[in-house]
Amino acid sequence: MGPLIPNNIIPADWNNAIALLIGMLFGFVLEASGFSSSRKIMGTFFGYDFVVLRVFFTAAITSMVGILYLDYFGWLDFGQLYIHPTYLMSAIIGGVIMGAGFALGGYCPGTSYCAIAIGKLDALVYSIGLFLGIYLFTFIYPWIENMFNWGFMGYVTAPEILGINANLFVFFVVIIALGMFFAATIVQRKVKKVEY
Amino acid sequence: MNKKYIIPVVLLVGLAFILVLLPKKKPYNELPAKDLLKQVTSSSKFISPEFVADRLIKKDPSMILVDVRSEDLFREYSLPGALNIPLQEIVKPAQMELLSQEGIDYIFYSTGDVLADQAWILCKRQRIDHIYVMKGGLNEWFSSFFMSLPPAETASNEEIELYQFRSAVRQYFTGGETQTARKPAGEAISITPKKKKSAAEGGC
Repeated sequence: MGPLIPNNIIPADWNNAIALLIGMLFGFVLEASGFSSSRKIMGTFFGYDFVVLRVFFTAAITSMVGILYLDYFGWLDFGQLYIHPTYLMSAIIGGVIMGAGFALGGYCPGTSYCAIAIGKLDALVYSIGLFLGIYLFTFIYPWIENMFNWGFMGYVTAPEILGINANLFVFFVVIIALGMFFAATIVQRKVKKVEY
Repeated sequence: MNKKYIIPVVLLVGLAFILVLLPKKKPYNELPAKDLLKQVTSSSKFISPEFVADRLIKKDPSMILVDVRSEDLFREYSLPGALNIPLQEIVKPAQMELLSQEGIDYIFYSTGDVLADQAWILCKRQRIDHIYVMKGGLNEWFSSFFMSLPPAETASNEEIELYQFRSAVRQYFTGGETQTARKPAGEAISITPKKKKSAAEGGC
């Protein structure tokens, strides 16, 4: 029963090798889907291409439904999965900064590496900026530590906070995501098509 | 909406809707990893061979020894009254049910500590209580009861009592024959014959 490595079905020594393999496959799919073009992400902001929204939300809702089914049939112990801790203020401020970075550069950290792999200089500059940001963060952290930790909620999930059943929550997310896809299609039809 | 999306959308909504209708599943009976870690690192799971021997001699009905080695090794040698449940079979429902009996202490042993420890973890994860590991396994059993050396003359009362207890256990399990390990050659006691006192000669 999964997860495979914590339950020793796959030895822990394979951890990094599997991560590398999945990373390469993920990068390949990103590049093959055209995500190494900064115009693709920019399309979400200007309304001429919503493929990023569709792909990432489809991945999210498919994995949500899949994980719940695997857990239900006893093939995956949901309780053993890592849940990232929630720092509310950091999530809000970080989200704004990251969103601004997306809008300015046309990449997210993952797609920028794909673009570097095919030799795009703008992606290289973007990634250098990304690392500079991380480097600077280490210096300013002592000053912003209180703000960083503000709103720490622990290892919680949205259904736990809302006090509803996880399955019902996933159903609502699926409906909302599909609604967003439909709305995106309408917006895309009204916005002038951009060829790239 | 593009027609090619109809099937995936219906499928996804359908699967998500079925999730809502599914009956509540039984919670996992497994011990959470954090609790298991606490118990794994605790030394209270170990029981000394002396304690096991004492309960064996007293024919304690609330203790069952479980040999987790292979069937072949079990046939070759095992402790009196022990059950054989090889490690590979310990997670089978029938064995789990057997080990879940209330009021009985199950003591796992193997050649060393490793197999018994693994069996203990597997059972503990299934929330089975009253399970222990015989410290050191059969290796420790033999070195304690069959290879023990007599204590030194300067030994404490506890050491002497422990040695006497071990000797008694050895006698119990070997049918009265006591065979202590020989002392190393270097420690052999040399007997120097006492010089005969010569009779006093002459006057004072």
